Amino acid sequence: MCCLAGCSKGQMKIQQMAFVLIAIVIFFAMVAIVYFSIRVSDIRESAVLLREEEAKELVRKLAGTPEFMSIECANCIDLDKILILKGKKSYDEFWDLRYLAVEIIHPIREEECDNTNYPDCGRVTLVEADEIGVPYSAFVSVCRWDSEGYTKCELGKVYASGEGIE
Amino acid sequence: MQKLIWKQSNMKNKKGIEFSFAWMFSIIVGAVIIFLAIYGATRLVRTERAVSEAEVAKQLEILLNPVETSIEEGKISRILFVDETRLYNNCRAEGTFGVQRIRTSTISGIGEEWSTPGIAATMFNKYIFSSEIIQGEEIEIFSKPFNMPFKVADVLVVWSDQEEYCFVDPPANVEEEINSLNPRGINMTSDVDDCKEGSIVVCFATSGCDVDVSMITKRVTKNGESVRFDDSFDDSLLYGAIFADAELYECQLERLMKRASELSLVYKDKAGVLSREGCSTNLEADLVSFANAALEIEDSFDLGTIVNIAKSLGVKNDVLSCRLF
Repeated sequence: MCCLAGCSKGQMKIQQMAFVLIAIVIFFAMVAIVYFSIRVSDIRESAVLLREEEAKELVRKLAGTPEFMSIECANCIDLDKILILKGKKSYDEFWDLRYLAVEIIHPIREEECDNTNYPDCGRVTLVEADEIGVPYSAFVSVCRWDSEGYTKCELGKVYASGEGIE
Repeated sequence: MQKLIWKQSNMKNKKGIEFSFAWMFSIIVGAVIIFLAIYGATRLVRTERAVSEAEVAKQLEILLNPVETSIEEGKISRILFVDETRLYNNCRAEGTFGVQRIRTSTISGIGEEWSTPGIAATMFNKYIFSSEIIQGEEIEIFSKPFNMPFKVADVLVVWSDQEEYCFVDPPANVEEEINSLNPRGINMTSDVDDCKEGSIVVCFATSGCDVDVSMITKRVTKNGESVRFDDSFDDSLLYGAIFADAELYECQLERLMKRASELSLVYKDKAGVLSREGCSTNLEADLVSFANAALEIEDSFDLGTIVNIAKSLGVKNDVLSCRLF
């Protein structure tokens, strides 16, 4: 280290240059940090939007998928199959969703369906993550075979929300 | 005296070409900064392209949801890209349902013409039958439900605006379907010579074309490789075999069989639920045997076995008062 008075002119210039260089590096590093934080937040936002869009599109078409479709009509969901799917480990990651549920909205029944209370229940939840976000929904007919010997259909809704970004 | 003056001037000249430390330092640091800036910009462009490719692939995955059928027997959809795009169709049969992966690469005027394909969009419930690379500004999607004997999935046959197919002497049902849906890029004729130059000729009655289809042996031969299809329930596998590369076809077929197997087990459990509700189907054993047979298929030439089980299952189901499917 040399004191200001004791420094030669060359040493002073080198010091000045070093400070300028450090300042430039710090400046560009800060610009880069701001840019990347904005860009990363943009990418996350667009990924979340894409996931939501996917859930929205999926919820519209779910009644037509082989796992959900009922033989009764085009927009009918087979509640018997949904209940079976609930217990199938093989379907755990099939939908790539945070939340997927089928609910009977008329007549209103609050209870979650399982093998003990079926069919006197109102909701089957197939996928439920810790944070489910805001699910999209679509009206459907929820049908099942009734013990009286006919297929009974009730008004229901299917809910889905996209996989979030960790 | 003269000698002394010369020496002095010579010394002056030497001093004129000398670099000070400050100059050398500035040049080196400047060069490093410029190099880093160029390197950083290149990396940034590459990363941005990868992000954009991943977004395109994801958007395509989303768009593939509404193109699927519900009660229709066939459906044509068209997807337009902003720029000319390459789609890389990749299929993996491992796991419970196998995986459909789609990666995209967009043409660019900066740097390399085609960027490295971005992060793949992964789908477990889609089955795309196409060539390994589809290139164009528009893609045509022909969705057909695949039934065996219940609906298993939608077969998505994909080709681009740069491909043209010429169907020579197709069977009546294919002709009728193509005429009614009128997809772009498929022409039909009764003579090979009438096919447009550069089009992919698909012959149904003769052989020696780009794609030979035998409706008797249920075989499609393309690029010297043969695959087997089955049209007992629908034509979806026929279209899949015509448009897809042999390896992709076999992989997608294996995935379809895995899904059929899982669905069969769902129907078996449903038979149990119906039985508890007072309607016995007695189809449990057949459904288990179908599920096992579907998993045992090694390639398309084993289709015959499962088709027979599926046919018998379909007949038994149709006479039930509480049909399973």
